[in-house]
Amino acid sequence: MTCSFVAIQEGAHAGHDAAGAGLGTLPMAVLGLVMLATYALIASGKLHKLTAALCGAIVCTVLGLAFGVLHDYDEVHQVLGKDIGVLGVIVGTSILVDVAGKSGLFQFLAVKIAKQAKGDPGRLFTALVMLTVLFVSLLTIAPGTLIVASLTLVLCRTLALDAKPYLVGVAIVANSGALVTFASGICTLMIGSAAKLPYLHFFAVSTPMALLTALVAWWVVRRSYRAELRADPATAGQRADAVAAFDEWAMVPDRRVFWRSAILLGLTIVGFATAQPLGVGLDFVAMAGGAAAILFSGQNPEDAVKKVNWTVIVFFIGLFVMIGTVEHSGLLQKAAGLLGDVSGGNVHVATVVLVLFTALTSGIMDNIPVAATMIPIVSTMAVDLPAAPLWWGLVISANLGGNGTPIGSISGVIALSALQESGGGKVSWGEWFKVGGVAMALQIVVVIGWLSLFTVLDLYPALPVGK
Amino acid sequence: MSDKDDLKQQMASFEAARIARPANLAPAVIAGVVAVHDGTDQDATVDALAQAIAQRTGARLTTLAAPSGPDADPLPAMLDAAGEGDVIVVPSPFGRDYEAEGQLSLSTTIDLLLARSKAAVCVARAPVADAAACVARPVVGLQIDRHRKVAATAMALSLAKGGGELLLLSTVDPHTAIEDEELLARRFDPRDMSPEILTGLASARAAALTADLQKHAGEWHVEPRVQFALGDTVELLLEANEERCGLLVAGRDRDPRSEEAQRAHRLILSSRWPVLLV
Repeated sequence: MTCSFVAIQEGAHAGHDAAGAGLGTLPMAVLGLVMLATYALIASGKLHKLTAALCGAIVCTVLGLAFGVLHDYDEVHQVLGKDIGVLGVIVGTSILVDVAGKSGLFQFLAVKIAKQAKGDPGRLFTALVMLTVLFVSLLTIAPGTLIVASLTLVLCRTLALDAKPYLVGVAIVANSGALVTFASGICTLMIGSAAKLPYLHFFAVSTPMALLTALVAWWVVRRSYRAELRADPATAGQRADAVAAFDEWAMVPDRRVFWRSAILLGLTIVGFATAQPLGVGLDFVAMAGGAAAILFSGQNPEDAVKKVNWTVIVFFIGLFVMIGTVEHSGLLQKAAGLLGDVSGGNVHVATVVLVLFTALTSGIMDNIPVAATMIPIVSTMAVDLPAAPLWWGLVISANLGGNGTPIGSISGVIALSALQESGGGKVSWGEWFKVGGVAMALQIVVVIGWLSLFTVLDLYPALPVGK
Repeated sequence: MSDKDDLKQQMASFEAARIARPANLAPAVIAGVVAVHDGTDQDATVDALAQAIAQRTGARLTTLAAPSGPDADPLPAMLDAAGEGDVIVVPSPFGRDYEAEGQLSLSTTIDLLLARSKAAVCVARAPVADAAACVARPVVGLQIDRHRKVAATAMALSLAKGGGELLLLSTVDPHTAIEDEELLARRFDPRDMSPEILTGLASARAAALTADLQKHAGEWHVEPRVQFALGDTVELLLEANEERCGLLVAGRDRDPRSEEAQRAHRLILSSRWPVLLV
């Protein structure tokens, strides 16, 4: 399939009255440089990502107004208004997750599942991998990884096992867990919201991919650390007894809140699945879930709200304003045109290029700015190319790309710092490449195959009109 | 709060699951309750509390009119009565012997009773609006005397079972050295630890009791809740009971010079709710 990317650009520009038309290349170049400088600061860690994004947003707003890219300041609010739903989902689910976390529900489940491994290192590894996918799919990456990583450390200490293979496994499969549902990962949520991907479509396209890529990661990590995951038959009974002694009820401070949290979480998931047919946003469901959680748990609302990841929220605000201004300059549409030219207008090639580019950049820096920048680009590309492969390709690659480096995803950062904190040593970049890098490469091959299969066989569920 | 603190708090929670060994918790048997009258207007409060305890536990209730008068010593009679019952309910200050100054001490009679009584001592402080409700929702301060926390919880459980609500308060005081060798095999300086880690330690301190209570809550028909808090145990206990208005329950060290006994003493003095020391 071919198309003219000049036409794409023009079509995309029609959506933004400013969108660079008649503004010349100077605003694009300057705003693009500010955006790149911000990303460089984030990637290098020279400035905290929140500070970098806010500074980028302020500079872009001033320049945008000066260049006439933004007609007036109200346009900044319009830019933010587009993404308010994402922020609402993050706030609502954070509150719900905090209440559910304090109820001991996930800790209870974690110990129950880990006990099934009976202390066998190989089976324990598999159990922790499954647990990670499950928890991340329900809680998003950071809280899900945190719970499994902490359980891993306690279990490994109890069983005198090396925690490294387990934590590396947890770090890598967590990014697959973020693909299970629309709300499983912040990146997934951002892209899904922008593309208006229906919640239930994830179960057809993304969930199988999550499970397949988790299987790939499980296999690679298990193979890489086969010596460490080998069981000593002489100590099997001892290990089984040590794990059996864990009492999951010790982590449940209040049974009523425990059951209420389970019910509310279930209802929220059902709410997410039915929000679009019912004509409400996911943010409405998340906020309702969060409000109900506070109401029925008896928890102090101030404490619950404190647990919202305000760093991410403020980071998002800065990022959305910066990218929105750059988008108004027309630069991102130009980038879309460039990507389109590279692909020659062929959807297979465009998808492969998009997946590879997104995966690689997500490995180098935080995948949230990568996704936020790619959204307007893909939106432009999707004017003439079939939208589904591009959006799904972006969702999957933005999440899995983080497996390429030890700093590429929040799960890697949490798991590896947990390992170091517990005295379990470091994982060098070289060691990570041999495991995470290989896993990511294989996962990307699987993803490209999967997306190509869907394109060739025309298996993608139809997206809502206009996407 | 950083991810590291979150991680340590989660780890403390899993450590709690690891170290939780069955506490063999069971409702304490309360066969007899003795209400001690001192001839003042506190007798009505003592009666109401003693009746409520007897009703909830099915215990036999007896009343002792303590000898009064300038030369009378009520203690021997009270100790005799306490030997026959499982709970003795007394007013404090006893006999209003020091009038206003009595509010500053428990009175010698009560101090001696606390040191010598074989039975648990329930000390009434101020009139209780609804004694039955107060007794049905006890609050256990586990760290008033951590060596007696299982006994205190068992006593509270016998009051709450059959439809009541039981609150266990596990605390860590960041201003005192933490001696939890049985939990952690080492001593900590709490100033080096974040609130999240200290809260995790509070959960570990209550792990065995939490597990036993939650597992058997249905069987005992009780709604147990465990709360973790940082700060002075006595102040936190009073704060937790502010709206609940339940019976405060704690362990009792018979050596009045011990830290635990002094903490219990301070609890009674600071409380307007009745305190049951086990």
